Amino acid sequence: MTLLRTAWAWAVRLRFVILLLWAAPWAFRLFPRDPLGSDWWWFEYGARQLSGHADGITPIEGGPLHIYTWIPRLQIGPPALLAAIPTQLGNTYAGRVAAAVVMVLAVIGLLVLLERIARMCGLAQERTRTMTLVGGAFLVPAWCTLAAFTMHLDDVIVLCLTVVAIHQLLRRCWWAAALALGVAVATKPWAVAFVPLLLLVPRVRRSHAILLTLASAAVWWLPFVVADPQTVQASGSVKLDTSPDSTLHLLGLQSSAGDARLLQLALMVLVGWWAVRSGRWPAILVAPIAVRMLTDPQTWIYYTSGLVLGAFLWDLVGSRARWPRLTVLSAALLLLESRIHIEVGGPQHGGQTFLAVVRIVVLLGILAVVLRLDRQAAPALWPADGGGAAGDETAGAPEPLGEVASAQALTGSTTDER
Amino acid sequence: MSASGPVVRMTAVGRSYGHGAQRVVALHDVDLDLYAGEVVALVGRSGSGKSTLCHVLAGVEPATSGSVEVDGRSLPDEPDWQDVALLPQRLGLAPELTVAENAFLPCWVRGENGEAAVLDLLGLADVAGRRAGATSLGEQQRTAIARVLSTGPRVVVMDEPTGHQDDDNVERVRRALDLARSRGAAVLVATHDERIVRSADRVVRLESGRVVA
Repeated sequence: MTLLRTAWAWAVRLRFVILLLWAAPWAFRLFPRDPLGSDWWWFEYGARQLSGHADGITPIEGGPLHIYTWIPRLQIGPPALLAAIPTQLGNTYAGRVAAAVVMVLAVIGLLVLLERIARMCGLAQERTRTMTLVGGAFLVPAWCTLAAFTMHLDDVIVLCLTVVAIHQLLRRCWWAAALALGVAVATKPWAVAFVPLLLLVPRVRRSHAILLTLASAAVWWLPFVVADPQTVQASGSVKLDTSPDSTLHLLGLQSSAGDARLLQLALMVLVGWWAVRSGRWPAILVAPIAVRMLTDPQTWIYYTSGLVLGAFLWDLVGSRARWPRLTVLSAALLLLESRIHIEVGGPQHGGQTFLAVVRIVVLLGILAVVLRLDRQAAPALWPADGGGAAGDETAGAPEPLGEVASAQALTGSTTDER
Repeated sequence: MSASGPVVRMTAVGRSYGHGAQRVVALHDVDLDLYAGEVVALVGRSGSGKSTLCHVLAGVEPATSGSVEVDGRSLPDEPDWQDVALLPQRLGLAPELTVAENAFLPCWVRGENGEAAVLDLLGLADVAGRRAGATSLGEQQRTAIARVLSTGPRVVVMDEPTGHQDDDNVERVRRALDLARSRGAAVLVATHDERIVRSADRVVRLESGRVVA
């Protein structure tokens, strides 16, 4: 027993090394041997077009700044395409491997940052470290699915920058947070759902922060829009197939471009706003992503990777639980998704409906937990606003856990920044 | 066919969808060997399991039972295009990219150049610079065939490669199959086209997911 305890203590102490070693086989297992096995080639294509390194591809008529009207389906913001350019300067295989390695390693950086965020929120160090090791063990495979299997650099950038923004907010560095969120939005428009984080900036600076975010998002797109005014319209006109295991398919709805996408985005922003406004900012990733997964015509597995990261942020900072329950639940969903074959336009089978129902139940369950729909009143983000959790389930909760402490850390009500 | 062993060995391969009362069995214990430098025509009525067999061999769908081996090794979940290349019925082209970009996509992601002769062979040279989405369905299908052949794969799997072709272009597809055969590929072609069947080295018939001949 003592031996086990000692081993566990060492494991917790060496958690980042262990998680790095845990990531290696997952990355190796998931990295597609075939260059067409992931979506990375779209990044290669875009990077080659933007850099003028157009070996094997046809340069775009009118120049690279017309890329989004030339290929509206690209849906990868300029920061991600530009970030992919260095991978195209030498051997393409080496570039692909290097991109995967960097993206996989980012999860260790994220875990370090998340742990720091938890510490800055005044959360108990022992619990935080244990949570990092256990939750990280589930997060790492999910992250490798995104980073090494599908290789969606754009999603990696968005998720990383959002965590960076949270960290910067805790450091009271509102402008860095605003810049990070702006780049995230420029990379993927749905990252706008995370912009409500800026509600945590003191009122006097909030409008500056929002303007800075808008500016830092716009500056990436400006050259493209100036060169080709149809850029935004073209990118928003893409119609996606409805996956047979999606909520939309289950409800008999078909996807459509334009308004439906805007509605989805509005719902994501609304739930992000609600999460922050009600003092549940640690739900800023998981809640909008859950809404996205519930309302999207497609059900790509990497959506769930983001969900697992968001769930881990909640478990680590927003929850009082000792174990990362939502992380495990969302990782289990990802595992199930990876086991059931889904093909748009392929044969219909019961597994699709089963997966759709499980996904809906899991996502609604997660939303209910993080937004606490069962509660009469959520704790106030700013104590002066009234409301608060006192008197309900926070009573008797071990200190200094919980979202009240976290919100205080972000809003400056506490000076504890260990 | 060949003194050496088969390139592909499918043993008791089964594929089903769903569970319980909703279970649909698409393939029952299929045994099939493919050898280097042979073209095997896979025939059978619609719904007999031809496309499923193609997908399983190409690693697009997993077998629910049995095994698939290529060169004596189990087929990975995502086989390399140089090992197994598939022409699916849905083609899977990027309509915004040109015909040449689509055809040589497996090449340029490897840092290699495509073989323009393949486009000539398939009658695509004149539309090589045109966006795939702006070409006819027949041209799109031949573009997808060119993509299959572009890296010289060990195993070529084609699902109805003449479905959108007129008589002249069926002949082009037949010549493309000959090219794959001459390069030593093991070729499996699911087809209803008698001309393709006649040019095959062997014919395998599927009925209700079972090999019957």
